[in-house]
Amino acid sequence: MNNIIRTEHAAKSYKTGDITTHALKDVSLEIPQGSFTCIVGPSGHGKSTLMHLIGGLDRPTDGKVYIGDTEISRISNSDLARLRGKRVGFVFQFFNLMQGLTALENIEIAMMLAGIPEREQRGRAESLLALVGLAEKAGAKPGQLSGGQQQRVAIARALANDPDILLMDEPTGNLDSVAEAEVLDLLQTLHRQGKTVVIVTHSDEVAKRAERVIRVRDGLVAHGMFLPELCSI
Amino acid sequence: MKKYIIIAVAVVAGIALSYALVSKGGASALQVNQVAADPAAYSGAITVTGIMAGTSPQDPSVFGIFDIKELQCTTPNCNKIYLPVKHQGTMPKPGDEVRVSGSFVNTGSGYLFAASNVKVLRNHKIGG
Amino acid sequence: MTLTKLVFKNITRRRGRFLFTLLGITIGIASFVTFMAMGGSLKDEIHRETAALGANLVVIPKGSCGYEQLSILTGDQMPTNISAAEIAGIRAIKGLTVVPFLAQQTAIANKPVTVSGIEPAATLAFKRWQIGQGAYFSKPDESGVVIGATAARQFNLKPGATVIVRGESLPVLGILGETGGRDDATLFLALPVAQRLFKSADKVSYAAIRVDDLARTDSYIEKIREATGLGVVSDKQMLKSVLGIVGSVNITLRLIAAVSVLAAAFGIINTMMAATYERKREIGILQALGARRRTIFLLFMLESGFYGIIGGVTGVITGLTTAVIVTPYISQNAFTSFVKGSGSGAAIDIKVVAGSILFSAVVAVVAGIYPAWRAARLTPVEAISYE
Repeated sequence: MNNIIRTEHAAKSYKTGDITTHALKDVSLEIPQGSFTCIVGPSGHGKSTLMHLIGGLDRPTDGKVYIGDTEISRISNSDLARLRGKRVGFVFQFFNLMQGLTALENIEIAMMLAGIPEREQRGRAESLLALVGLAEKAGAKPGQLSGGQQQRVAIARALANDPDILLMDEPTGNLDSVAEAEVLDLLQTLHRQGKTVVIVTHSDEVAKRAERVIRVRDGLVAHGMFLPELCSI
Repeated sequence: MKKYIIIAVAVVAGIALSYALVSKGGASALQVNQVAADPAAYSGAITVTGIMAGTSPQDPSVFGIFDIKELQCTTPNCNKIYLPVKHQGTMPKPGDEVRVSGSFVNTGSGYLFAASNVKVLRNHKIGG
Repeated sequence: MTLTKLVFKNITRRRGRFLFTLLGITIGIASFVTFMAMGGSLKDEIHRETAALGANLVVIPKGSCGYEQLSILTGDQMPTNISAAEIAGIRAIKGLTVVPFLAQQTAIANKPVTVSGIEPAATLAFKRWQIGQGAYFSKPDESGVVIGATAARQFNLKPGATVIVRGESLPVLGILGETGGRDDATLFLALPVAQRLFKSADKVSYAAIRVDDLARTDSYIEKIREATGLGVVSDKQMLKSVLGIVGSVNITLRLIAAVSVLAAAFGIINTMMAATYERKREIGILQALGARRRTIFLLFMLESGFYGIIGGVTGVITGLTTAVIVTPYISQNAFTSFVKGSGSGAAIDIKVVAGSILFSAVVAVVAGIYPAWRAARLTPVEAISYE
């Protein structure tokens, strides 16, 4: 099994004024292709930072991060953006969708940025919406959709560029248990289809469905496999 | 809905503009110096604008107007041309900027402008 | 979904803001257009007409004011006070090419037309005219008219047609090639014919002079003054006097227009900065979706550009409407006599319209550079983390 994401002693620190914050200190991990991983840990300990790094949204200040075979700490912004666009699909916790556009248009934007020609966009966007079970909501704007529906559209959008990796930051954080279950079923389906799913989460429900768990505490990763029950904090 | 309102406004504005341009083109007033050079060349009803200089001593129903541009000229070389205008109604005052509508009449000894309408626009202070 | 469609949706998302920003640009461009339609390009026209005159010196009756010199350029009727003897006196001076003109007016179809009495051969050489259609004067006193290209087109006159000047029928001998200046709208008569029709005896209105040696211009001016009692001005002096009359109105309008456009530009900067700030999160999402900095920059620049184009169109419509409505209320003065088209009303110059829209777009794009740069500079993490 090859690793689709790999880090070697990755570290990230920020300087605000005179204070340097070490968000991530020394993280070495591997995420195999096609796995379902959850990243857990208390708030403010570096989970989101780790996700930003492995998704190519940010670069490490030290160490190396590999997405596929590409080491991202030294490539140009342009190349990094292109890499993101090709291999990673993101879903965030809040405000994923662009407000003034319909569900369909939101997905089409992702396709536009992936270079898919306009005439193909509509058909593919519609099938993605169907995949997440929201075909009839194609013309709805985010304001007209429930939280769970918005997240499902966001997932459809994350799939627009047919990425290998689905990275999600607290995707069910705002949802009630019914909606959460809908989203999780969808994610497991996608996982079974071969996508690598990585979720940063607090939720037991999510963690239970994962194959692997990475625990982050104080900017470091606790090694070893943890039983899913111990994922909750 | 709002899109249609904007389109409608644009169309109306476009029509108003075209209308204004077309009608303005016809109603351009002529200057005294232009018509006085060759009154015979003008036929039918025209509108001329000029400054009232004074009434004719021979005929109190006739007043003379000169070109507005002459107001700026103060040298003896000005060579003001006066256009005689015959008008039955109230006479304008010297210095009045007027728009007279009417047509030229050949009196045998020259051309006279028979005005059917005299409109005073404003007054300019002219010296004696 | 294309970038342009996205841009359009982004702009119109906030109706109020969109309309107010647009209003700002409209007013700015409308001021600019009104100014242009009412003669803003005046200065350039004056320069052009002076150059078209082709003279280094101009001889005018003594004591003429700048206003009369303006008449030389506008083709207005001028008094004929310079006698043939005086012209001969100037011709006697070595090193000068002297061409006299009689400036008058007539009308065709109730539209005023400038009439110029000329010495045919001398003027043809002096002005380096081309004959467009038909023939030129064959004798110095030939009875007939030669017409400028624009006038011929406007009144649909061809060689062989008839024109009535001061009650006399004259055949059209030929039509000149386009000169791009006032001559295109002028009727030319042989000087003796013009003098007869306009009862000017042997007099002319002014004379244009070319000197052989520019360095000796001042001495020529002296000689002319001694030989005749007439006023002489160099083309530069004439330019100065004419610009002096017309200039002051020009500057006020230019200032107003410039300030308005500047205000509009700042309006765009403000709107786009606010957009950058409010849409931080959105920018982050776009970057997460794979948008490069270049794309974000382009997105915001296109938004500014759109404002510029839409605002340009509305500005032009408003500006022209204003110009048309306002012009009759402004007294006819030297200023407005320069409006081309021999009295046919407000000129809709396609160049002004296209140029104004382009100008608006350029101003908007320039105003949009800084906000777009700020937007593109955000890193995905900064943008997304924005609460």
